[in-house]
Amino acid sequence: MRTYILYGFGILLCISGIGYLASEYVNYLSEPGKLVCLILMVGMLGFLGKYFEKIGW
Amino acid sequence: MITKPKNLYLYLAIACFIGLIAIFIVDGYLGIYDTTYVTVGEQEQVIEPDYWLQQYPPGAEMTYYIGAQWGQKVFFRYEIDNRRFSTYSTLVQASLWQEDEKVFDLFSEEQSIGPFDEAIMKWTLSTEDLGQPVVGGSNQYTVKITYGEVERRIIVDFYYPGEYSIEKVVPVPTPE
Repeated sequence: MRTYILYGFGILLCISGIGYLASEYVNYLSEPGKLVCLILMVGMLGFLGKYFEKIGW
Repeated sequence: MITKPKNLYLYLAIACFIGLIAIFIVDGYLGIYDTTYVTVGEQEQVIEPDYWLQQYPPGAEMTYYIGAQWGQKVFFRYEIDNRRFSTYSTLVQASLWQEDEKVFDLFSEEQSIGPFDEAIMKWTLSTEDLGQPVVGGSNQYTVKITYGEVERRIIVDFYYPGEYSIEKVVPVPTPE
């Protein structure tokens, strides 16, 4: 249980960190940069979902 | 036989996360950025670097508009932020234009900016240097700021407090 809380805390920190960076710098990203960011974001959330599915959540 | 690591999906998610951070740093943070501060009277306007990245309508060059009363001085403070690992050297020029003709130069200086350092330049636009205002006509001027291949355009629109408050020059009759 403690491990899951730590995982949840880590994920929240990661997402809030990305949110902060996005709010600060997304205006300065080039168009290909924005596209790659979107793909990586989808990939990150997808892989996280798959990981949690695999461990039985 | 290749065995799948136990936490393969977690590692892939972490790789995506690191990729995101890398793009924000390399594409979003690193580079050369310029910020313009324009002060008219007691009011300061800041033109952030992302203002110039917008395109309204699409494909059009962005122009910034400033209004000032004839007689007021317009103070410019221009900052170039070098967010790169090498020194950036460039000639920074500011000039005043009207109807596609240069009126005069406002500022010209060679700048050498160290890595992750910034350069601050200042100049003033005064209507005293512009001669007589056009009564009832256009008193718009364009301040062009250039460095490297970058050009910024700021339109300064000088207006009157009222036509009758302008001192009119009456020609002295020549004696016969």
